[in-house]
Amino acid sequence: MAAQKRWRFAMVCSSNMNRSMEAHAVLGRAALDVESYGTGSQVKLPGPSMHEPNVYDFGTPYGGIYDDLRRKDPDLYKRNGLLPMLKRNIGVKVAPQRWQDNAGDGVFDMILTFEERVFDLVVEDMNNREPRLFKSVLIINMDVKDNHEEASVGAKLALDLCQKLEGVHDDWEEIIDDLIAAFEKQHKRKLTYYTSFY
Amino acid sequence: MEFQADGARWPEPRGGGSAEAPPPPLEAPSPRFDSSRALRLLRELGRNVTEDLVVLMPNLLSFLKHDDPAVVKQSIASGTNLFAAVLEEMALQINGRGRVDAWLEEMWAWMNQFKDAVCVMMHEPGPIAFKLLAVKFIETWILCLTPQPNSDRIQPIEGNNRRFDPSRLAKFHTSLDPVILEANANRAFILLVDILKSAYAHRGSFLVGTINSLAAIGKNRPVYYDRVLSVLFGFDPSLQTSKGAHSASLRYSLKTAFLGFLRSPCQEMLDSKDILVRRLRALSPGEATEQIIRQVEKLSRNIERASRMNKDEPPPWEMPYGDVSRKNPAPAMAEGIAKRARFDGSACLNPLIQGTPDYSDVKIENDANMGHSSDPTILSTDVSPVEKMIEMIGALLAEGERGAESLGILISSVESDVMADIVIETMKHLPEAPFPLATNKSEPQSNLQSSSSPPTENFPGHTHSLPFTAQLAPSADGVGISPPDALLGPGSTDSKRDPRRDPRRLDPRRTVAPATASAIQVKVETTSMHQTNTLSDIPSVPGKGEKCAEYSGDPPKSEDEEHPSSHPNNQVIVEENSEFLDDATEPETIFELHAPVEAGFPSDVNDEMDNPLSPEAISNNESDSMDLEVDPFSPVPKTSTPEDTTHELPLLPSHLDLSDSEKITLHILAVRRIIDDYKKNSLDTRFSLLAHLVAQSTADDNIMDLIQRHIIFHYHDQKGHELAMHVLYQLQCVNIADAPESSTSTSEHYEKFFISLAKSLIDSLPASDKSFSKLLCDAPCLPEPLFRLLEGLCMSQGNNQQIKDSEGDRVAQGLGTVWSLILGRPPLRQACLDIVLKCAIHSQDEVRGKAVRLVVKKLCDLTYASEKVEQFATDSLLAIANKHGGETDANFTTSKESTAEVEVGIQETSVSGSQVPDAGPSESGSTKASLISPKQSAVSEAKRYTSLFFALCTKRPILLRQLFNVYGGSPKVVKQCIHWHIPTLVRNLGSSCPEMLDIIHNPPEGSEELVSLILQTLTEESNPSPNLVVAVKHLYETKLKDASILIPLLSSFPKEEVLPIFPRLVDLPPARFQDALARILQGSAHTGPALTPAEALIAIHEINPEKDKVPLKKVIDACTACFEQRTVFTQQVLEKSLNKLVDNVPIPLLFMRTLIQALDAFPALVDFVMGILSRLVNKQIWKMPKLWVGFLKLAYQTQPRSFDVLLQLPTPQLEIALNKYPNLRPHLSSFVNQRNLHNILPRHTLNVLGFINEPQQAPMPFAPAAMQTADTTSSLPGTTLM
Repeated sequence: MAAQKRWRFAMVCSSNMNRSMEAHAVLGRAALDVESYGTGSQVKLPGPSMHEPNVYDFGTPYGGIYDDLRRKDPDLYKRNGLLPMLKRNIGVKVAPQRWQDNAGDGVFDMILTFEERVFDLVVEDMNNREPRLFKSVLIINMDVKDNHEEASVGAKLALDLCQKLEGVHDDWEEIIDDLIAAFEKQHKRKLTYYTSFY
Repeated sequence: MEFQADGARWPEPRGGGSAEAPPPPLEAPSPRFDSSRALRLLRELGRNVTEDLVVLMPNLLSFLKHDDPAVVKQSIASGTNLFAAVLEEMALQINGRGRVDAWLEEMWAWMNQFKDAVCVMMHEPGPIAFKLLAVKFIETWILCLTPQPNSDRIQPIEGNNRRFDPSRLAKFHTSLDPVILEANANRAFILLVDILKSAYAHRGSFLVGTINSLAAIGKNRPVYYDRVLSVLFGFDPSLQTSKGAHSASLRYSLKTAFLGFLRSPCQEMLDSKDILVRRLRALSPGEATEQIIRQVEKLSRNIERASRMNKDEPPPWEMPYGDVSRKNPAPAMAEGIAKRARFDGSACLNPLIQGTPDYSDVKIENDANMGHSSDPTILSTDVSPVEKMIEMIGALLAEGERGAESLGILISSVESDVMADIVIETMKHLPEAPFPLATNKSEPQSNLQSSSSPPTENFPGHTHSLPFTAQLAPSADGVGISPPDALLGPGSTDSKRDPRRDPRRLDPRRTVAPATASAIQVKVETTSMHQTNTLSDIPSVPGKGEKCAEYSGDPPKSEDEEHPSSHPNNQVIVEENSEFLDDATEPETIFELHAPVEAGFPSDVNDEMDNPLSPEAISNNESDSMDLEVDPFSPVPKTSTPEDTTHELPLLPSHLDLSDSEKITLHILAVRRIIDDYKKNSLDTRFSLLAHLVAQSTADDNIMDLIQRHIIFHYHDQKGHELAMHVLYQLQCVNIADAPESSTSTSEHYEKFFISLAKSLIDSLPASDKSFSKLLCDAPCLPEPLFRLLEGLCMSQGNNQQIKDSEGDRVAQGLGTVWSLILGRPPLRQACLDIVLKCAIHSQDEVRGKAVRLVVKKLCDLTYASEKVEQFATDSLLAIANKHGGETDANFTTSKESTAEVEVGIQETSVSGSQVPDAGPSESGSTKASLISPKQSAVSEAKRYTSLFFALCTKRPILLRQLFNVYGGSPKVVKQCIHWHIPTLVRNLGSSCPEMLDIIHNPPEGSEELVSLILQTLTEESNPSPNLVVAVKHLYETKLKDASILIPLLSSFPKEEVLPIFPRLVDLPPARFQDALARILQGSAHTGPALTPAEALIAIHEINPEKDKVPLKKVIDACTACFEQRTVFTQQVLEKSLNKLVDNVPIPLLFMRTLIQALDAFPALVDFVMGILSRLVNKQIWKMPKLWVGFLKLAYQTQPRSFDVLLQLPTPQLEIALNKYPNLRPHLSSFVNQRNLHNILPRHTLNVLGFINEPQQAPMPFAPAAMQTADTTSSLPGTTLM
């Protein structure tokens, strides 16, 4: 009974551009119910130098960002993979969403973050919300470096993790410690989980 | 209503009466709702509380036992929301109309039932999802029932702030008596605390949820903050639970909790900032944490600044501890307080705060309401949690029997500090003169009424004595500081708050009954004797006497410390008190205890024992009464019936004559009985009973054995550890009570018990078990022999051969224990450190390896240990170097045999080292080393004393300098050992380690070999870093002219740098040069080779032995070395370089030699060589005498191919050649004949060849034959091929 229940996943990174979107795409292809978010104050993308990032507000459509970057320096952004990434994102959803501003998106069963700082922010945000439904939510952090290669590896791992969780017959609370430990051992990755309530 | 048809159970008819006593909860759901209906129903149970909902309440309760987990979860969730909503509605009604509708009261009663059911759920085995929700419910419960200190200020924005809390009640109502609500909340809080205390039995997810809830409570309700903090500090995230827990996540939830506290602007949390920061660093060291800490510090500075700006507010250190309302801005606070003073028992007053003109009124009103003291000295303090507690206790007393249980729980959960404050506070109400023993016993009720405000008629006797607990406890502990914190500076407040610094936190009995436990613990510390003066003043505070008129005077309690026997009333009350504690929680304990006592007594004693009397009381009589005072748990004569007490008390002195054996029999019986009874009853009380019994029968080994066996046997399942702690603390207490001056020493019994317990723990439990470590960490103090035991354990391999397979574990166990001791018991750090360090130079590799790992991974990061560790490691290194230096030198001079031994050792070591080159130095070779023959003691000793140092060097590269200093003077053995270690070390440090570069830049005398070894290692796998190259060049240019030092770096040198040093390289021993050559030719991946082979060969030839001061022999060797590498110095290479060399002016000295060698190596070169020869002829080779010789030799050797060249020579030179090699002449002549060259050759030449003189024609016929012989006898292999 519990096994047939669909989980609803949230993938969260800092800008809702690379890691969370890669995972969103991969999970979406695997027909999982998934959304994705960022926790930063704005969407930041690498620019021509360290000190000149491209900054956008959350909610700016990926298409708009794509056009903007292509106008600025098509060669550079094609070479560093931003344009292909944005193209991928356009196929997934319209615009980057900020986690903190989208509390109305409904209840997730599991929130996966890709960076400890993001994890902290999600946990803090959840703790600041007043629980009303008393529906437990599992928040997991898996550190993934913010580059294209790692994001793709991370997304595969995320898919594996989410499929494992959805395949659990009991409540996740019963097995989460073992599952995390096994996952860590299998993939040589460090995970941390936290529980909160909607 | 629709559920009626389904048989939903209706509640009892509604009305005023039913509201008071709701129907009992349903045992099982009587109606079978299917899941979907149940869920629909539950979701309808919204936040709007209406009268209709009452009928649904039984369903809500029954759904808790529904088959479908989803229904159960939803019912808890809905219940949680409903609970808050019901409270809201009640508050609304109370505030609006001053009363609560009957239906709502009924709802409230149902909610209470619901809560009980949820609490039960939390304890019963069941899905964790349920339990987590239950915990969340409890959290909500606590948050709602505890007043928020100052809702206006602390958390101004957050949504969950608007939840109900008692401070929002504008009017008083019995159903929502804030005091009772808080007591309820307190009980619920203990439930949560208990989960963490029994963490090992739970799953990680449950623990994470509980930690989160506790953190939320601590953060939102500062009243609980200190307790939450101490619980969380006491929680070990890396514990191994029986069901599995993910410790990183546990750690994270702790971290989140601490961070939450740190970010809170609340004063309590600001005060504990330092310890929180320390904890955070310990939990997750790293830049991320530091960053957060910096943020928080900035935040707190801002808050401080803000508070300084607000001049109306007193600075934080003037604020009394626990003052929940201190942060209110004055006007808001005045209003809030005015409200609370009327309706809230926890009203907080601060007359010191300026700008609150109506304070005095409020104060008076409050005092009148609460019947509480208005002592002038107290006026200076605010109403603290302490006073709140007292009020709470008072309120529970007023509840009579119903409150007894809550009271017990409340008392048991109070922190000892707070309890001490409560006691002191209550003591102000004591009369000055002592009351006689008999009257005290017979009139407990009247005494008590005096101190509790509500005049209730039916006070059950035993509940009353609880305030006495508070009053009397300080008589035992002697600590008394009147308004405790108001007088202290911030520092002392901090230290008081800091539970980590409080050694008492480890005493397990604190959780059993902190009131009495604190009395004992303070004695353990024996720090407070000097405070008796302060204390003795307290009872005489004016304004208290009339409150306690019934006491006809009370002695200054402090005297009890020194003269306990002079105040029998105290003892009795303590006894009484402890009995009530026991009684309230589990009456059957006492009963069962009495039975065996009676049975076990000889008949003659029985006469005197009409009343059931515990063994405790008997032994008390014969021993000094100090026992009694420190034994407040003693099961003492029951005093619940008036006859008993009146009979018994005067008789007390007559119970003196029991023989020792009888006492012991009695004790054994009692102990057995208690132990056997374990399963049925709560454990905690048993512990203290057993502990006291044991403490009093220390002389008897049987009892000790019995209890010890029991502890060991039930170490895990029956909380043997806690029992052991009780016994140990008890023994220690008795010891200190007996000899207060020597409080640090341990008694013989204590020692004996402890040691034998520790030993049997080791023997009976597997090495992986942490119990031994826990025992040592938690024990009150560690006797000296225990350190020897521990040391033995750490080095157990040598001592105990019989358990060979698990020995490694034992060592780890020992070291693990030592590590926890170092962390947990700061005074023992040095002793423990000594043990570890001793192990780190242990002769057995396994012990040493583990100890070294402990030192390097953990210890050397501790600030207090690192210096000592480094010093020790350095000393060991120096010791071995110096010692061996002396020995080996002596050996050299005295006996040759021992030198041979050393050398054998070296060989073997190097063998073992080379076989395991990649393993860490501390581990590798361990198997080999154990096989080393006695002859090798020197080597293994060198290893033994250096491995710690090397392991440490990885972390502290600064130590390298020491190593280099030592190296020069070290004997061979030690050097060998260093050579063996250094590659791993250097690889770990990497080539850019600044300390190492520094040393390379300027190495100490005698360490050159080591430097070159390091360079070699560094360049083995990767290119040297630019810094390294710079350092080495500097070294070469300044101090060390030995070019071999440059060899490892040559591959990264460019051509222009190699060429100048090339002569120096050639000057090196042949093997070295070959190495250098290989590196030069190999080059780096980036730049390619510095020299091509041809260039290298040319460079060799261009060396001028005289000018470059290189012996010719070395140059020759260098050439030979090149020719040996025929795959590198190929035919083409040789052709190229010779072609170049032949044009040199002057032609290099070795040119002809090389030419000959080249032809030797590659006979196919012969045509090329002939070309060279004729070029030499053109260059008038005969003018270079040394080369001329070679030329002639080569020409001779290459005949007949060289005939063409020979014939090019001018006649005089040809003649010289023919004279030198007379054999040439006939062959050359026949060659001329054959080719018919007579016409071409000049006459002189023909003359030289003898064509002009007839006689010289004779050999002509032999020419072909001679030519043939010349061919066959030629030493040149190439010639046969032609």
